[in-house]
Amino acid sequence: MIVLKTSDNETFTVERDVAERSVLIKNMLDDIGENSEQAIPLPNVNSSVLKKVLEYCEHHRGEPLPAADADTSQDDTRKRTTDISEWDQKFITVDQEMLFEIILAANYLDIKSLLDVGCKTVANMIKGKTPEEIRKLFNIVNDFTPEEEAQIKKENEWAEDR
Amino acid sequence: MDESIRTSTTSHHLLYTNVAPSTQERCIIADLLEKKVQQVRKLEEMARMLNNELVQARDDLLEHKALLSGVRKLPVEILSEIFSQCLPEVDTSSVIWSPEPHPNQAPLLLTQVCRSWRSIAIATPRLWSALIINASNGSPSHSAITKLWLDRSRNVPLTLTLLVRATDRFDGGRRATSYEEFVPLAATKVLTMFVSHLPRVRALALLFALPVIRAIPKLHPVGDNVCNQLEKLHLVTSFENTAQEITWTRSLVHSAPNLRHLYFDSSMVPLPIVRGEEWCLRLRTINLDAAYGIPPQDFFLLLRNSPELVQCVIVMNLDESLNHLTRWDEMPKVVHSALQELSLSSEDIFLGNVLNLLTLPALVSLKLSTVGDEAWPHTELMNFLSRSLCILKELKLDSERMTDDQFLIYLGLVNKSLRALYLPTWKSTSERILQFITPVKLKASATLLGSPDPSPFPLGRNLPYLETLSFGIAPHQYIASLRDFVEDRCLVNQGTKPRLRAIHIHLLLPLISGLATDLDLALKTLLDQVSDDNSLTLKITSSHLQFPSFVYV
Repeated sequence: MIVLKTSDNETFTVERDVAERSVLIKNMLDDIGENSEQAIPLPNVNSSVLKKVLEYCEHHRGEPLPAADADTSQDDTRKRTTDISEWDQKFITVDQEMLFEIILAANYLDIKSLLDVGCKTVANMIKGKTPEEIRKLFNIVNDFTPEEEAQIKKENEWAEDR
Repeated sequence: MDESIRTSTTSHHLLYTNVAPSTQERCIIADLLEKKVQQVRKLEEMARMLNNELVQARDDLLEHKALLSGVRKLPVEILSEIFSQCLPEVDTSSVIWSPEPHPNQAPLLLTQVCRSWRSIAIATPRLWSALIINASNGSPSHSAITKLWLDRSRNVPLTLTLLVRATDRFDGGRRATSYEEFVPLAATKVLTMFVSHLPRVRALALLFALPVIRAIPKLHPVGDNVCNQLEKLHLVTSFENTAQEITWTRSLVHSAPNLRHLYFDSSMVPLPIVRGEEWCLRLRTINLDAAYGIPPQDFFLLLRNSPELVQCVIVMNLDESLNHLTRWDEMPKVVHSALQELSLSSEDIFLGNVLNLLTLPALVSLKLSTVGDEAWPHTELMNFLSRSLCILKELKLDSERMTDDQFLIYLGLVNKSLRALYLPTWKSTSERILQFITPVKLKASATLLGSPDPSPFPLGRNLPYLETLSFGIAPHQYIASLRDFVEDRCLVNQGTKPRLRAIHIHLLLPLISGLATDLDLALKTLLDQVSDDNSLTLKITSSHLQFPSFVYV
């Protein structure tokens, strides 16, 4: 069993194969050796977020991890899909604050599949909305200068010209 | 409020009555009214100020809330990844891989939210790596958007599509007289811009209903290995077969040493494009389903030089300059261990000569068709199947000269492996073949009528794993067999047996409209039941124009 210590000093005892869904934790465990009983500090993750992350890792334990070189970000011809499995969808149905915290935790802990689910969820929230609706949804301020607004308008004019 | 203003002893006894005030009372009330008007104005001003304050406070609250907005915490690389997920899906199975750019869709949408999103979107080249331009209307803005996209994509691999539909172009009432006028200027400009980025193009589709290449006389041949990253090339183009068009297109294909997928459907003779040994080494799929074919020797050359080829769709015809009667013996035999799908159409060529030279052990899909009176290569096909030891899952054989007996022998061979069967739709499928597909119990009636049982599998169902079927049928001749077929292979009440998943029935309807109507009503009732089943795709077409066609999809 592995002990994880959160930023708010809570400890979680989890099985090794669950914890090792995180590449960060796996590397730490490899570094400190098999028999160490010391808690692994996770200063960037609080207990409520780690609880959710561990729920995800528990559900997906045993599944093959994505290969280290599986970064397809440069593969522009790949078929992009924002499909999320039913369980993952239910799991990620949380308030916006928690959603972003999970994404940040997945990024920090290096859990690629969870990061992917988080990013797809935010992408699905963006799709089909107008810029104003997106600003309202995420509390974003429209900080464009009049010149920038004019440039944006010019860039989009061509669409009316088709 | 001051009570003296609100009311007075004078007005008090008059309020809520219909008594008319005296002259003196009217003066007092007039004074009172003036005070009341001033009071209302004062209150309105206070309300306006308070409302302004409220609006400001709300804005202030939102602005401060925004400081804690979760999205602000995301680092640039995560936002960049989210933006990539916002892109419209790329459908690589379609001719047009992605939708045209639109301000309501990523990436343009993302540049309109705020300054930081805009800068991140612009600084993420992969958001700008796929572009489709439909330059049919000739708008000059197509060049501007192409430049914007290509600039922002920096150096990432590109997926580019240029679409030019046929238009009847007039200029001030005068019909275009030159190719430069006929083809929209925007199309030639965009193609020229695409060409300058060829070294980083990974997928290119040129879908021209007009001779765009001919309209750019200065289009120089593409240099050796320039299209080093090109993996997918889709050419559906209108050509005039000029030397310039042929040279440029050939240079494009031959400059792509890593080409994996080539689709070529055009009015250009494909032979000069595909002839050669070096260009196709990495090829995995080729589709030369064009009006003009290639000679057999080039087909064999292609097979020998494409060891990774898994899918091959070829129209074959003879090179008139060659004496093919003596050449067949000189052609080396080809054993290709990767090819899984082969579709051969031929005209004026005996397909048996081709099959005799082929051994394809990995083949799972075979489609053969001959045109006209060319003999059907039954013996050669049997030898080919026996030599290749392939397990066919998909079969399409189309020839006027193939007999039902021959076809039933093939069906017997692939009985336990076939998943998809495409029968000719231009002629009616015979009752024997239809009954081969229907269960044993129903074939008993046919035997009584004198037809020999064609099935080499007397027990159980034939083609038990069939999922896809396409065939033509004259329903007025075989209505009972057709009904049996639909009931057995399509209807949901046969739940215990595997059913077809996709069916295309082409009805060859009779010319007598009254008869057609009766048949149609009877058949339609049955097919309505099938079309209600969402797990099955049913497509019905008919070729009888005097009778209204109906289509289920």
